[in-house]
Amino acid sequence: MEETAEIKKVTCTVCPRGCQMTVTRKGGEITVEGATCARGRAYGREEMLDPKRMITTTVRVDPAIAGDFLLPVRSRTPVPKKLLIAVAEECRKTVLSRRVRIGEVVIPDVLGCGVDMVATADVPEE
Amino acid sequence: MRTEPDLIVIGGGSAGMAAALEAKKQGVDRILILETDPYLGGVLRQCIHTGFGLHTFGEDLAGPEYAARFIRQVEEAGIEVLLSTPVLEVGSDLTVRAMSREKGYLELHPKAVVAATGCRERSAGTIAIPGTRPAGVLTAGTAQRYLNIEGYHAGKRVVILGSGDIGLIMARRLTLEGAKVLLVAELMPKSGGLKRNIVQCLEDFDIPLLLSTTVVEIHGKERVEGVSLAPVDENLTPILEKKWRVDCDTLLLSVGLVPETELFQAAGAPVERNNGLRVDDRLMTGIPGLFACGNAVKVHDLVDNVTLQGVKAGGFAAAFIKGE
Repeated sequence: MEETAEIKKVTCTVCPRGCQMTVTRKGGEITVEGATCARGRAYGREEMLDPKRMITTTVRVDPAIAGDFLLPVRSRTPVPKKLLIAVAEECRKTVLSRRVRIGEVVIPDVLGCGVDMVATADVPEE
Repeated sequence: MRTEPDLIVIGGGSAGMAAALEAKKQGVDRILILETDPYLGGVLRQCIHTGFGLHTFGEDLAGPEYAARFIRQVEEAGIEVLLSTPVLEVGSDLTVRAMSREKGYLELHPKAVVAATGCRERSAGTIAIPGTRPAGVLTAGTAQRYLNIEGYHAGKRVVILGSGDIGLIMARRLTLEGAKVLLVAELMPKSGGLKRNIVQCLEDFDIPLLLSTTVVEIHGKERVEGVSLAPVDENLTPILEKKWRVDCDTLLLSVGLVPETELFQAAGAPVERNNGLRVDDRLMTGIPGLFACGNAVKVHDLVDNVTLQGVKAGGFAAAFIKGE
């Protein structure tokens, strides 16, 4: 019996060009058509297996440390798309009780997905 | 500042910092950056999303990270900066009058000035939506500032008019913060935003993008209670027989950006139809010694290109000061 193919239309988000790709999974094999670079092909493959996205949001800092400053944070690398809302919630619940510098880890291994949330600004000296 | 600066850069965003750094590199010693906000970096400070610096640094940075790299260079170069210092007036003889929180009223006479004042958003007043004027109608950039810097939420049920990149970015941002973004309406048959933003900011969160659609009425007295939408015909005229109402508490506008140039127009500098300063091939405006760069000339899609133009303007201003 012939296996049915799973087909996904994907707009590449690797760069602003936005290639329109067709990703096909048949059996164990995944093919990507319409990509114009290797990073695009890898992105198409990942969109079929486990789509990932960068996430950026803010984290509160203890007012005793930095007044009403909101610390912008991002994931160091993309996190599974299905976790985006949950990661944002986790960041919203977090109150940082120490001063961090740009690039430092704010929440390690957020929700156990293996990716750290890092600061994208310094917490200012009051 | 005891001695008069040779170069004043008006605006400490990405264009202004790049211009000041380049002028310094080319031997101009006394440089002063005047910045209205209490921090350097301009709009990057509130653009906490990534996508900056792919060209300049070969990295995908968040806005504040991109800004921080230049802020550090400005500090290391010993360039003088006055924050919380709005410029009140620029004369055609390049006299700069400013009000500094720290130093009070200033009247300075530099040899050259770089206009790096960026742009502002088109607001509700400029697009003439019929209906009442309740609280809850704001530009996407204002909502971005409230949320990302001040920590206030614009609303819980949101309609966005205009599919420019800031509107798309805010659709995602508000969704992540727990708001319900009901839809994005775009007057034109095609979105003005980048494809990757339509995918990452709308499709990822199942937010509908209604093309050839506009807001025809705002409802509510104290607070927005809803908006009426209608499709438009090929002349962009709303087809009112087909209008429908959506209940919401917030309407965000992402309907375009305008170069911020009135300060220099008052000095006599001519502008183009987009309100951007008219510049020659050395980025000099109609006023000798007044150079311009970044979004005060033309609204750029990428900050990397703003930086590049800032570098050029700084170089040309340095050459002017040295009499080359």
